[in-house]
Amino acid sequence: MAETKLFGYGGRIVRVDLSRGEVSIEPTPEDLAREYIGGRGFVARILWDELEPGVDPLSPGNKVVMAPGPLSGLFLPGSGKIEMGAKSPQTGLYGEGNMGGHLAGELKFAGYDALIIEGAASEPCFIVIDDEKIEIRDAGKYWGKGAFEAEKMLKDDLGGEFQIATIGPAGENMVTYAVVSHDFGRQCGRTGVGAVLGSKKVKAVAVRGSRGFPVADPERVLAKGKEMYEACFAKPGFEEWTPYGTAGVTDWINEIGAFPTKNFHTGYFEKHKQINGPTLRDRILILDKGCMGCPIPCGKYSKVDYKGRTIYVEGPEYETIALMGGNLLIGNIEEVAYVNYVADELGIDTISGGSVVAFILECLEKGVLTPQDVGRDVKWGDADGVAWLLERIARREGVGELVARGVKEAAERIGKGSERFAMHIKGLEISGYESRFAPAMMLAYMTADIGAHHNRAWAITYDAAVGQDVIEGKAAKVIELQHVRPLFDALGLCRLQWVEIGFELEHYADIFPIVTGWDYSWEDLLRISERIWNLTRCFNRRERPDFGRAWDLPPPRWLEEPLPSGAGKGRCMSRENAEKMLDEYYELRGWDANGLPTRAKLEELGLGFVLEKLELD
Amino acid sequence: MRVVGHAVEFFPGRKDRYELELDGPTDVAGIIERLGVGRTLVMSAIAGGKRRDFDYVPADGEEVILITPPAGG
Repeated sequence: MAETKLFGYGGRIVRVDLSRGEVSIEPTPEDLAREYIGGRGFVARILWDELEPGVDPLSPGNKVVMAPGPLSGLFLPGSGKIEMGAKSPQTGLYGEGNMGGHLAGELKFAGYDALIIEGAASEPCFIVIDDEKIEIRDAGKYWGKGAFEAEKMLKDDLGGEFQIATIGPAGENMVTYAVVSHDFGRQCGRTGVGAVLGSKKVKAVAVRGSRGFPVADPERVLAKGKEMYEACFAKPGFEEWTPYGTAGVTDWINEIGAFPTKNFHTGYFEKHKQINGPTLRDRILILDKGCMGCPIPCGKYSKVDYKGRTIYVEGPEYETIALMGGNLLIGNIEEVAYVNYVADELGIDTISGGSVVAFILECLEKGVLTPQDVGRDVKWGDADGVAWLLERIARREGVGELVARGVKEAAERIGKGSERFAMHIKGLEISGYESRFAPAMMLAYMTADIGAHHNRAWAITYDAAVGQDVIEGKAAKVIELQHVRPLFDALGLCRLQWVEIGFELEHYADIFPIVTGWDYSWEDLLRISERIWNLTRCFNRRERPDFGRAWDLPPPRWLEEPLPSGAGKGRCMSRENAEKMLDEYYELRGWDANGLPTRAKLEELGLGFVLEKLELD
Repeated sequence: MRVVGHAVEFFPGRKDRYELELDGPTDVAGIIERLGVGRTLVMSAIAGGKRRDFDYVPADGEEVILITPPAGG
């Protein structure tokens, strides 16, 4: 069977053509691995090479690429990450997200570095990868089921050792912020990869692998893995951080005035202590739940008795606490967990979903929409009303159809000034950091390749370190982070050991050469990360010919409305300062004034091939 | 003093351990100020195995762990 002998890699890529009902296995190109590493790098380069420019994201011509990285599946802290990407139906731009759990390792164990899903099936189906045996099977009995329910059914039918990714009803109905769900609570949440799977009628992907993959120096990899685990456990932050996971940051974010509250009306929520990490742990937590290889399990598996109904949910993690707690004025941890569960089972991204619901509530409050338009009245803080709206969205019923493509398009359809409070950048709803008093974080959102998501550069501590009022000098830090953080997404690793408990980056620099046998320095890897960043920027320009500087501006609320409360009270980002940050950012990146990479920059990064499909100065 | 988290890079010399000689009893907030970093760069402090408020005054020779903010995800 065709494969490439590469250390750290399965050596094969599996391609599933749903239109033809065909499966093929291809060798992993060595130059792809050497120049793009894996994970996010594979997703970006494959989408660039294989998508027809201008393809409709919900047509058979779009493709979903799922790719672990060379460090996925190894005995290393956080080795459970897999990237999933497609042209985003939410933004029309490059789309990508990642999730933990056990799917990445299982795909590597089956001997695959990527799964490419193309075409579209005529009837609901699911893909089963069992080492070399790969099948497209009928999913009729699972279609219409919730994401968790379908996963449970598939586990029962196939066997518990299969690792399974599913979509919920939102994905089936092509809600553009539908997630891919896995391991009963892990989601590839952003940019609507779940909707693309739904457009292809793929309910699930199930993987079991026993083949394994080679590493260059097994003894040193094992020794380094042990050293890394011991170093993690010895970190003083380990015992402090792990009990709360990401929810542990809730109080601090409020303290610095960055907690999204009431559709980003302000940055401080008076009830934040009722939905923070300690409250979660005291009141609803039943189990700490980790992904493959994780020494610091951030998953907080919870049980909630809600109005006579017992539900189990992984979370809420910080982003959900922000977008479905403060941003909806829900100040009760049980209620946040309940709406978290509803969104997860429906397969809706809690970040975009929380923001979309907040947008509807503000429309109702301002009289832009009436209760008759919506189907009923829903007030801020009304968890049952929020759950009702999420159901409408997932089914695309009534107001759900109006907002099924996110706040940007909803505001364009509704009008009446609603675009002033549609909180998005590039069409992607903003994640959990109000940024009018955090310029570096705002710039990170403005320039993130997929739209307003924090995982590309979490720059808010830099704001705290050098001044939350300071504009100058923020761009360099944002760029540095935009290379380091997405590098983890190429390697197939979770970054939380580094960002949460201060695990040193030097460990990762040590491990890559002994896994792959390639003498790459950390700087070499960062250079590849910069290559990927420039490629996704070019992808966006190719897909949207007007893409450029104007797409990088923050929403009107951040430019026009001073914060009414909290540490940032009175602060607002001026248009002049936003433009100034972009000028500095573009110059440091070697891009032109419109925010596009120059020919010289692309050639310097080994991206000269881009110029065959894109005209640049 | 020990500093924990990725924000160690913003502390003097990017160090995660400091020994400080103080003129007299000083609370945690004062110690952070003495280190020359902003108070908001520290999320919480631990001493004697317990989480402490910023007005806590460590005993002579007591180790204090400063927890910098973790990322939300």
